[in-house]
Amino acid sequence: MIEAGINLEQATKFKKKPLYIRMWKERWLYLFMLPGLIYFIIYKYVPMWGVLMAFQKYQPHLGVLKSEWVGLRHFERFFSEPEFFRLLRNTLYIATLDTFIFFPLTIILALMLNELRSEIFKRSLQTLVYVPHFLSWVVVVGISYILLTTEGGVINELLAFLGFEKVQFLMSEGWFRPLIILQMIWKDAGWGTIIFLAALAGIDPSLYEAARIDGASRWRLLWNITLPSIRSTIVILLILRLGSFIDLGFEQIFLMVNPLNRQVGEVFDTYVYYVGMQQGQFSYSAAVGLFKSVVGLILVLGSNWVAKRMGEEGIY
Amino acid sequence: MLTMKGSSIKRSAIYVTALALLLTGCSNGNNSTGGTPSPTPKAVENTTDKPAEDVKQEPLELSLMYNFDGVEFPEPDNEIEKYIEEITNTKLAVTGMPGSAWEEKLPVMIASGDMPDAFPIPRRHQKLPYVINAVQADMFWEIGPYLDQFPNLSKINPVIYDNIKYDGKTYGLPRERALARRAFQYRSDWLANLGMEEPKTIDEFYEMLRAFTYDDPDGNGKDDTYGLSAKEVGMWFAPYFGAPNQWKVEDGKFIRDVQTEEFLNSLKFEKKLYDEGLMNKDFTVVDRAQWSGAVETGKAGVRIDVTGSTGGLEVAAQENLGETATFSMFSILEGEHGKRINMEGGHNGFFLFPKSSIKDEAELLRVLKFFDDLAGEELSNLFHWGIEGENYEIVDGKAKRIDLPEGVKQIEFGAAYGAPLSTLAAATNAMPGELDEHGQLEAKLNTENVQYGIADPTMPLISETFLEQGAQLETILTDAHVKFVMGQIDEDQWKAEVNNWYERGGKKIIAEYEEAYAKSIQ
Amino acid sequence: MKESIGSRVFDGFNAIFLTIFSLCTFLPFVYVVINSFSTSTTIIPTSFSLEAYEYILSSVTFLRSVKVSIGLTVIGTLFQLIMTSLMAYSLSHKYLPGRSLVLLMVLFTMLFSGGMIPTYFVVKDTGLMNTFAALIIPSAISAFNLIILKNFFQSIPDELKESARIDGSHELGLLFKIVLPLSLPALATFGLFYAVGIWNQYFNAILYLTDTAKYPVQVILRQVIILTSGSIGDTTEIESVTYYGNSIKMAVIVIATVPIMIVYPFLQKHFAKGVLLGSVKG
Repeated sequence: MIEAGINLEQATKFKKKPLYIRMWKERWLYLFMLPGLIYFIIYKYVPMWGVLMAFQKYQPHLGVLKSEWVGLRHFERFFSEPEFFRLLRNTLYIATLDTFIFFPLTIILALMLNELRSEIFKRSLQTLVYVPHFLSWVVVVGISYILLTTEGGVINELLAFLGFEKVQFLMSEGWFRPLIILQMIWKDAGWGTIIFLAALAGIDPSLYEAARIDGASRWRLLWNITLPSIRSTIVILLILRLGSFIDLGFEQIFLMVNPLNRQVGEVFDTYVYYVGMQQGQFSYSAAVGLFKSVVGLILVLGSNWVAKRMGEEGIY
Repeated sequence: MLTMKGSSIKRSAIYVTALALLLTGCSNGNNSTGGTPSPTPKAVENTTDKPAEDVKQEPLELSLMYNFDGVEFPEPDNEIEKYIEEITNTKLAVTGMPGSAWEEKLPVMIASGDMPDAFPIPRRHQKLPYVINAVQADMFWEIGPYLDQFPNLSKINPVIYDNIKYDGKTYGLPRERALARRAFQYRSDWLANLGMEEPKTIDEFYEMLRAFTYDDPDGNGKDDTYGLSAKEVGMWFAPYFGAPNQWKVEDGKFIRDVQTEEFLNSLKFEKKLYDEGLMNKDFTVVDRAQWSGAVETGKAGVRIDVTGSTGGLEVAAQENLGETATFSMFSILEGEHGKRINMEGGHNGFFLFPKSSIKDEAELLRVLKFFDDLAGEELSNLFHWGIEGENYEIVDGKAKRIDLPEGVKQIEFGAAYGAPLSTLAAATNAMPGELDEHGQLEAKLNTENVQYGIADPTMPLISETFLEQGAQLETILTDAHVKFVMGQIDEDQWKAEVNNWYERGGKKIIAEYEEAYAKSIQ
Repeated sequence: MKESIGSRVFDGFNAIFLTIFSLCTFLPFVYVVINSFSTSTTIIPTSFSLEAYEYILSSVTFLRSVKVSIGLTVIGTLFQLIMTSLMAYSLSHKYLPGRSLVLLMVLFTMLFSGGMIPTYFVVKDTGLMNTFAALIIPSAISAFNLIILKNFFQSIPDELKESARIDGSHELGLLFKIVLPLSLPALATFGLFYAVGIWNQYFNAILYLTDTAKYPVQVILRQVIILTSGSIGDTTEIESVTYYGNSIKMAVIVIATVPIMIVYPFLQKHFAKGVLLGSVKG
């Protein structure tokens, strides 16, 4: 997708007109936007009062109007948790691996798929590659167990057969993070390529034609045409990802954590599970959730600003 | 599509929106069997001038929501439901859903006030703040004072009622289960092959595990078996070594099991099993399927589970191994401290009755009568045995199960209505019958175990700190437990971890329980 | 122009690597499928049996839930795509007054949410309780999809839009004649995302539906898994159920995922190729 130039002259003329004239001119666009706006207001903004739960001792039967207000108490409790820094460290570690390994890998995978010559081959592999997305984490962890356990797991049996020592993959601290990322890649890398493949499909083939005629090598084509074309998609996706940077998703990690790797495995989400879900403390989990949202907001606004400075189209 | 005119697109857009609205409208109109709390109609309605004695009350309209543990959600108005309605003189509106979803929906239900006439609180939620607070906010009827009017409900073991009291008052109607039903399920054919007897003591049990691991119990000449298939950690052996059931009270002082020497001894025993290879080394990561699978495929010889699941275990094992694989079970191992076993709550959740749905005492009494009827003879038979002629026949005054012919599917009366709705155990009032071998053993053990049962004294008590941090603090103990068994920490470090638990919050929990206890015995 | 050696070598390695990778991702699923046809619990299945499928497929409630889910997915996806496309199209006009504000507003909803209980109240107050619409309308637009779709729309060259406008085309016509056809890959992508989202719905159904006849397929299937897993303590006295081992769980996975998995290949056939062919010229 190549950004086309805007007619600067027309744009400036447009901007000079008074607001209401401009809005009237584009009235159809406002009409199109209307259903969506109404949706967002009703189903997203009206329920926002739930955020207030983070500042209360919320009781479901009292509702938010009658529950007791406790101000920042939950946040204080959260930050003064002796575990806090360990949780932060673990969360950041995995979040970073996610953004700097998983995300680029999906792009590379998409590019590789795009380079396949045979259309049928490409389509079939595309489908095969996103199949694990549909399996639940329970299944994925179950498969991991079958492969990696020291009691007859496939990989360990192989290692033993070849004369090596068995490795306690599932129970060692050192393997935890790599395993998490490997599982993520296996499960969702394929799915992650779909958006990029859609973007790649939108590149005008004539651009490639012209470049080839000029004698460009494959690498040149990739570097000068393909990548710039999907650059804006990459940027947007990256910014959006940063919004959920420390939102790691609870299920996978929860299933993989055990007493032996807890030191590196416990993250905010699993911590909130014990405290919030298991013990039904809505307010506390709301507070931690709010914390995550604020961090995400800062990251998004920040990266959006950086992107715009670099000449990219931001989100807004 | 490229040539479609703008107007026809507009039309389709309108169509779709209209369709969406239509769906909304239609469905709202079909809201007949919903369990939402439209004002429950008054049950007693006299439309003619009949003398009082001849009046048959209108059926009570009863809305129920609960966790459903069967495969097929019963169709509304199926024959089982009709039968129940006839006997209890009710008109039922039932909504069932998977157990885990049920647990998550509950707080929302309480928050929104959309509650049916009766619904069960899961066992795990008994002490969650949202339930406690709702109860203390007087949202539910206190049923204690009315129970003596109902013969069947009164038959439920009072210990169970006590376990679920709030502030000393009874609000909940429990779904009775066996109080102590943990069992060691083992390969009886292996034991026979080795010429051994069922273990009665800890040492004998150790011997059995050792033989299962090293003495080739399946006689195939290969060293491919081991003793115990273990999953995570639990209080497997603690009671037999004399440790308390989580907590014990001595002179008003509360002591946690991990703080006792006896518990440490049981830990050492576990460690011994681990070190000597008598159990699987990956017990802390093994998933459910593999844990059970190890026994079902003949790799391991012992599994710890509830008394009711042995039959199923044997069926599964025989699928893989043939008819020679047989199982038996026992619950208690005698140690220095005699025969002991931990008692659980004795219930699988309990029913609460919202005041917003049940308007007055008269209605409450009718609702309670419904549950009493469910526990009566006729319906107990239904839940326990099924439909006469179809699921069982009467032979010599006793019920005998009929095997369903191949391919016949039937509404699982047990799962659909019996398990979620029976309060008094259906077996109590149902007619006596022939049980298969495992069923008999189960019944025997369940009854026997109670006499040796030890209770957890904190069951009816509440500790704020435990509610806030309990689960978190438990991980300190579980982690230490696992690490000790696996040899990663030694005795001193174990004690240090227990102390860690104590300092981080255990101390406060103890103090709070002691206070609550003192209040309760006044 | 001759194909360079390096290029061909690359093709070879590329194909091999991708084949291996896709086998890695696909084989475990094959394993699941194989296991669904066997009743033994060993890792390598030893018997063949259709029992698990018979068990599930003979259930009236199951078949009905499939119908429900298919209906919901088809109508819902269409609805959500239309809602999203309209709004994304508007927002793709860089000089629309108020655009930044709206985008910021949308972005905000991606990061902050009121949570389950407040949303429940809104759904209830808008009259959607116990309706199928409750499974579609509250998730009408995904902010994520909206923002990216807007981006896709934005990258359609302005010359195309301008020439259409000069030809006197109405905004709506522009949308349908130029923008949408050129965005087919994107629409297919988000259609897939929405379809998967609706098909996989589970907890929302539990939350908003009281009529069990309206339950979509995931609820029914989850039920089967719970039953046949025999979790301790929550299920007791389950009579008259033959033991099926893991096969039921596997069959459930297959039934729950295969229908939606094959949606994309179908979409691909129709939408994949670059549609800008020739449109910029002239």
